[in-house]
Amino acid sequence: MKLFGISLKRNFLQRAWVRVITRALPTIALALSITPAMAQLSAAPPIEPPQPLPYQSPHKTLGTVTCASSLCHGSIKRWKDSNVLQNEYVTWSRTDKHAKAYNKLLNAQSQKIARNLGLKEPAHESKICLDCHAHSVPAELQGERFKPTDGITCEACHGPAELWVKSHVEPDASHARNIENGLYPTSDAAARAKMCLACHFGNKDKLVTHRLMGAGHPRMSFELDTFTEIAPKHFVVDKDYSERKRVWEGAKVWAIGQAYAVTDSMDILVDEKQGRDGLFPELVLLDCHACHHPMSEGRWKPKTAFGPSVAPGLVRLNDSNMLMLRALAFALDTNAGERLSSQTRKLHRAVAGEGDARVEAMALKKVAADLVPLISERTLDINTIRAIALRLVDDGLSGYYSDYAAAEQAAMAISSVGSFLGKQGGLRNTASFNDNLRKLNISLANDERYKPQEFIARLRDVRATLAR
Amino acid sequence: MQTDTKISKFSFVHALAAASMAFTAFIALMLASVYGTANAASDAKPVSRSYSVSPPAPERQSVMDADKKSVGCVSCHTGTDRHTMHANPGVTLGCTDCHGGDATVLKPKNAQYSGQDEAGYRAAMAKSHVLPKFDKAWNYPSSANPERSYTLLNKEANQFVRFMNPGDLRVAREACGACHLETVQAVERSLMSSSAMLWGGASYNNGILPYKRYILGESYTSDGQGATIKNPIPVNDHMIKMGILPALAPLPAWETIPPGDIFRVFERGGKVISSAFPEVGLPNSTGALQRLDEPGRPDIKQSNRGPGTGSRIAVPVINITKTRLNDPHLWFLGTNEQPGDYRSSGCTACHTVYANDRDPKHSGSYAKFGNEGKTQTKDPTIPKDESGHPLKHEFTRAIPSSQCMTCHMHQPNVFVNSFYGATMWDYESDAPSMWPAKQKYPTAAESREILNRNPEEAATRGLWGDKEFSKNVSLLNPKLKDTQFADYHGHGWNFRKIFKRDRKGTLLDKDNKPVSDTDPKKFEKSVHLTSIHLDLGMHCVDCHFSQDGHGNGHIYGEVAAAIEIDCADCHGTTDKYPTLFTSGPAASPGGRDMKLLRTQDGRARFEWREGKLYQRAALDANKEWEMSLVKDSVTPGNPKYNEKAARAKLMHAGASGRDGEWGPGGADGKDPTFAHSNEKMTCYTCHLSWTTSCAGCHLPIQANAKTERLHYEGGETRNYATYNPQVARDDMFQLGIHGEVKGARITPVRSSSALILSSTNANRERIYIQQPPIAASGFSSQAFAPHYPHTERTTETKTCSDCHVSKANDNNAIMAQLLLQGTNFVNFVGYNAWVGSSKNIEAVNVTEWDEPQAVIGSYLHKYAYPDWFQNHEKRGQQLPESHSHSTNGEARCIALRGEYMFVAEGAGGLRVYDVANIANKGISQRIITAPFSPLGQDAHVSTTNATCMALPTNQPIAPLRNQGDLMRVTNQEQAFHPMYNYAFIVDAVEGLIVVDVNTFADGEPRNNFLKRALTWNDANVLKGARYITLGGYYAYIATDAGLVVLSLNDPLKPTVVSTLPFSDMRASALQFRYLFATTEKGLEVIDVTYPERPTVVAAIPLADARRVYAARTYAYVAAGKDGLVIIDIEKPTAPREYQRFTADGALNDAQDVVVGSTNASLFAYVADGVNGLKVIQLTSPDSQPKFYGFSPDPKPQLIAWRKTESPALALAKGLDRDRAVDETGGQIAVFGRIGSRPFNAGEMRKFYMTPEGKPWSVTDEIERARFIPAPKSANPSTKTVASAEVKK
Repeated sequence: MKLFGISLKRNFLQRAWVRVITRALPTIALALSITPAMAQLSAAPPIEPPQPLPYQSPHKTLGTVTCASSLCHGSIKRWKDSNVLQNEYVTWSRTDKHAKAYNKLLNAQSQKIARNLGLKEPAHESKICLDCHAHSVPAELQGERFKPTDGITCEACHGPAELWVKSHVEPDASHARNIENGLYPTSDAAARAKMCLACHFGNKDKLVTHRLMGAGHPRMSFELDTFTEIAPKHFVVDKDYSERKRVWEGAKVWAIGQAYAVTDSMDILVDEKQGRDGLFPELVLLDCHACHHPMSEGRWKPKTAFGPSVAPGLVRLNDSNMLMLRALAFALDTNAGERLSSQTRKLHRAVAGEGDARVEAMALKKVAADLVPLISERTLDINTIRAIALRLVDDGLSGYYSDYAAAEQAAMAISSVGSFLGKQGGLRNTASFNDNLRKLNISLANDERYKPQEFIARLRDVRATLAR
Repeated sequence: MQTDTKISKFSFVHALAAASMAFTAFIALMLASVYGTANAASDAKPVSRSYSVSPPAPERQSVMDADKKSVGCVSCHTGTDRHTMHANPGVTLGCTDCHGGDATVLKPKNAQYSGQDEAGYRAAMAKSHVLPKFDKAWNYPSSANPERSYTLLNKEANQFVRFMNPGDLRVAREACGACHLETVQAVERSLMSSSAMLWGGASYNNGILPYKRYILGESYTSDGQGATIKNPIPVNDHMIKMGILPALAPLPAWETIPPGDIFRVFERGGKVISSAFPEVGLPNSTGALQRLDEPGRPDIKQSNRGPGTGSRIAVPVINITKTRLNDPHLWFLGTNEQPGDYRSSGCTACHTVYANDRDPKHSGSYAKFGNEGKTQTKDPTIPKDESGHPLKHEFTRAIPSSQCMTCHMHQPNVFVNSFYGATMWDYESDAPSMWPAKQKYPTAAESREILNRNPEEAATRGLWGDKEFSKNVSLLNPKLKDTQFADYHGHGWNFRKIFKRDRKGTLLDKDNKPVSDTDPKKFEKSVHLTSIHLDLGMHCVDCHFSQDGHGNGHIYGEVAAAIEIDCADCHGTTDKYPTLFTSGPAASPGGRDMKLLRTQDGRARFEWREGKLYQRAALDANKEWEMSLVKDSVTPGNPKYNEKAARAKLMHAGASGRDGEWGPGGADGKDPTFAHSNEKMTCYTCHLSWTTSCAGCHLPIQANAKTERLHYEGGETRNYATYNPQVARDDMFQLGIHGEVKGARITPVRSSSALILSSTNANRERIYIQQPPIAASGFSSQAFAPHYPHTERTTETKTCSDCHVSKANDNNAIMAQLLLQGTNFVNFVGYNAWVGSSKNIEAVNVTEWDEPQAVIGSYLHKYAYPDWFQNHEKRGQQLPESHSHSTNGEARCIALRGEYMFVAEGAGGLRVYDVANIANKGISQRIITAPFSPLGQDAHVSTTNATCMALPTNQPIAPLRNQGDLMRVTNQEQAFHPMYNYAFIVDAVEGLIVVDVNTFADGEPRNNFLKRALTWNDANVLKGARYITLGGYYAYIATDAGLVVLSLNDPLKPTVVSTLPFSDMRASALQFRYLFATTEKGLEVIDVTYPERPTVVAAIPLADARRVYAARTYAYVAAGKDGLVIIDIEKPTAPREYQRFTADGALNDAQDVVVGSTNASLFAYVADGVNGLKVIQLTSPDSQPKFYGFSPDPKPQLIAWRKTESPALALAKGLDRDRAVDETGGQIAVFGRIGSRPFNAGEMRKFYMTPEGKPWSVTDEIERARFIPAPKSANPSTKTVASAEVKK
């Protein structure tokens, strides 16, 4: 990736790139230009969380120290008689990378990125960096003990505590009242998806743009359920949890995460400001590896999961989330699957100039959004989940994950749904499934050295342990 | 809640059923008498009130419920700083949740505290507030902390206590305990509350209780009764090793505690003079029981009732009970009357800050609020110009060290003081600015007023007794010439800053270049030896986190055992980066995760960033610093590599190290072991710039002083003892072995406030004076203790030649000091100098009795007592008073131990005189041979010609106390060497005579008979013996033939170790490896590294050298007509005559000399045959500005003299104050901290001798040629910090 940032103007790759872009440009640029009719369309499905995201909250952020007391959430040991673990701060502090997010801005790589971008301030003082590497709120909403240096803090996810700090310790505290007071409902998969994706994918306020990548920012990878688990999570879904909050199966969390990834990406795609970078589209929305691979390595395939490829040599939207959602949609409802499939294809075509990309993007957003209630309400039984899992695997075996992003998403998805299957007793041999999953992940260890054929071989082993 | 671990005083005897029966009986006796006493504080009369009970604060409540509990309160208290005191808005509390009171009472409309509807306001106030029983004592309606309230809290209704301070430990469970119960309970058991370390140390070191696992501690029930605290879980063997105690009982009333020592006046018998020995707690009202004594017995005894009655009490306990020497601690409010003493009690004592100190290094950002205890609160009802209010109605963890200092004043030479780079002022430096020009004669009332604030008696005469003066003493600094004062003044004390000096006392700048004594900017140019941590901006709470403040819930008796932090936790070791988990003795299993800690302002306290470790300041939101990491400092190539540090830390152990080899690699390719590893020694053994030593404190009890008891039930009684530090120095660096709780490692040791006791009875008769007690273990109470000096610096650390013999061999005295063998420099010659004459022994009074006990005619005398100094000058410097007793021969060797004078008096043999009443105006014959009937005792051994005698120590000891399982197993005490039972007499004819003298330490006068245990003179080897010096179990005896060295390892079977011929050897003095002998030739220096091979290594010719005294780097020779000849022996093998002093001819028959320190000055006392006693001031601020040095050049001045009854021949050496162990490892003085001790003989030898017995030496130069790099294959030092961090 660095390659482009540095040598763009010099070598023949530059010419190659310019050629590709030049071909694609008119269509994409045109497709993304705004017309009133499109604006109407964009209003279509209102997929908004029940309340503002934590960084958008009008309330004051109090600071980690407020939560960190050993009598509150800073206990070393779990409390036996509390409905939460009470050691959340300890977990976050010791093992959660969010706690170190700010400090990343102090390292040499971050300093270099800031320099490359020509930022006026160093990384740890630049809003563009702090927006995701810290809980970045306006000065007037920073409590006296709030420290941006703490990175992604308690309140960065749970919402500024000005109002709910008191209500959440009242004797008759209720989750509903806390949420009324501004506690962000992270237990709700949809709300959580919106929140996490805000940084891990980007939203209308913040995005790791292609410029940032060019300046040296590492590539982003995210899947809601997997990342919830590996954060690591600092809660246990147990009896009292289920009495207070809805319990979301990991597979559903995954599914909702995928749906929102699609809707959010569509929003960005059509956003006049974010979706473009001058003459160019915001390249980060495209599939990195469609371009970032050796010239000799022709990766174009005539067939995709969504139907025939539009044409070789085009820059492609990153459709990894659509791929995941497609597997899910088909398992829930064949029609929904077909709709998603065909709408994704339409979008691909539109991006390539055969249609109105903006219209198609909004249509795809609606298709994805419509899936959210379906996922939320539908009971996912073993058979449905197995069907999702098998489709994920089979898509891979069909060579639809020719690019790393999709393969990575698939692996995380298989992990999520496989875990569900395992818990429900739907796996013959959990140990060997886990073993194969582990090997699958090894094949994904390095995005730059991703070998589709090796991935497929590993996937084949996974399938053997997934089937009934 | 109240009953789990706190037991009321009445039932605590049951609680201690498991303790020894003796102790139980002892305590029961105490309690019986304590509870007879009345409860009347000075003028406090209780008001009868009925109190309603407020429920404890709830752990949780709705905001609405909480608000109801503040409605009325906030109608007057319309603003406050933090509504709930907590910075955390999640805490939901109403005012009455913590304070109690009635929140429904509203301020009447328009009513004001003063002005409109005052009555209405006051009525509402009285109704809503909880009112005190003792409203006068609390100055109701003022809410300021009253001055010196002490036991008022114990008498007051606890409802009021809670109202006034919900954090007081009597009530904290109901307020703070709602959420912090465990912490409250831990604090109740912690040393901060119990003071067990002080009471335990004082009672053990002074022989009052024989329990080195302490049993006394302060605690109260909610209604102010003394309570026993019990450890929450039974104490198992492991916990015992960790220093955890099962229980602490209340301190019995002082009137009932028997003295640790049976001074002569305490011995049984005597006619009762009830006016002189008033009884407290009379067994019968007429006192007839005591009058059973028959007339005719000597009346110096206090009756035949037992110890613990009358005034037969333990003086240190009076001090604990009645002076504010150690306290008040958490159970009481601060005294709130002078800067440094403003604070609350209990939880509030630490967590609310008061304005105490103007120095930002001490008070951080609070410094700007001054030092007068005035508030900054928003609350309009609190007066802003009144002292005794906290800065804000707010809790904080950003506690400035000035707040810690309100208690950690004690002892005035240690801990927070040394952290600040200061120690107690010695009354001498810059005396002209500190003493009134006109001598002050304080009235009893004036003295009492001052002593209530400051128990130093000197303050009653000095300018600083005025608190307005003391408050601003640091403002004197610009005009001072010898010292600089620190700007903190708790207890009314003065603290001087310690500056960097060389051994001679010359000020040094940061590059070790000398700074001139006359340079007006000398104190700016020199280095103030604060802790480097202080310089960075650290406060106590930057290292001592929650656990160290609150305790971990277990009961401890020693501070070091109760600490969780260790240097390595933050700095790592040579091979490991810090883990940031605490690892000190009191750390929880696995340690506290310091990475989780946050400062009050919200930042993480510790953070690794890019391979560097940072700490954020607890008190300054904008401050952080990078930590020094030991591993980096020893890793070549690392930017932080420090060759000097690397050499010290990687110095090899064993033969390789003795050859000077250092580095990560071993000489033979194997991994080296390191000489100075963490397992062998504490970090601060080297990482200190100075250590403190308080060599002696005088506690003169006065019967005619009616004073209040400051603990438990309070009440006034007679008797009071002031507190008078004598020699607080900063130049003594000493090492020993720490207790097992600290890994039995090598560690710095300090002289820890040894006491000497005096007593003046109701008739103002001095019934004993300046008596050092004996520790419970039988060792001398000239106590020492392992010590963390808190004087860490980066460059001013200890180096090779501070602990090992230097290549230049110029540190013999340093080694003697280091190993605790003593340097004869700080020795205590007290009220009397004792002279042996041709026909007498004589006590010449050389100091004032009042405090400070200035040597008459000295620099201090001139300023502290100008009138009396003038009188002395008018007398032609002649000392006015002496007392003598005739002898049966020439008293050529005399030694004072306790109340006995041991005299070798020629044909008279050995005579032990009773000198207990030497200062008693009620006794006509103050020196006596037989305290009562000669038939009942005979302290005499007749010999043919007793020429000299020696005691193994002149410190009072009682070897018989040191035996049995209690001492050997429980208290982990070493045994005495058997020679400590004896006195050793040399007789020119009979040779060596050994006499058991333990009888003088058993408290029983009727068995004081002396007899020979041994007479020895094999092959007449001791023919003509005339002098004996003991060095451990080696005796160096001057005989006709020369030096004879005997081994007394078995004191009753002496063996000749070696002989060395001299012509007319006369006397000798020993210092570490060298014996200084006077002979016909002069002064000869004998290397006695190997007593079996003594070798003469140097000589200074003198015409008539008599006796010699070695004090640090000078030998003082009484040289007959040449007077006092001072020889520089810094390099013992190259001695140099420094000066001859004859006081312009006045000193022309010098026979003997001793040296001692009084306050900051050094004195020599010379027995000048024809002229008598001569007192010579060797250093004084006037004559030698370098007087704070380890061994400044002496500038002798004759200041006083007295002709003796017969020609003076000998002097008694002053009490050894820096000698804890003898040259062969025999322990002499008590060591505080269980299991701790001085080095034994083998351990001492390791500092300078190979296992084969060859001496080796060190250089402070970095010898690069001796560096051995790490073997190529293994290269652990290249591991990055980051990887260490990830591992954690």
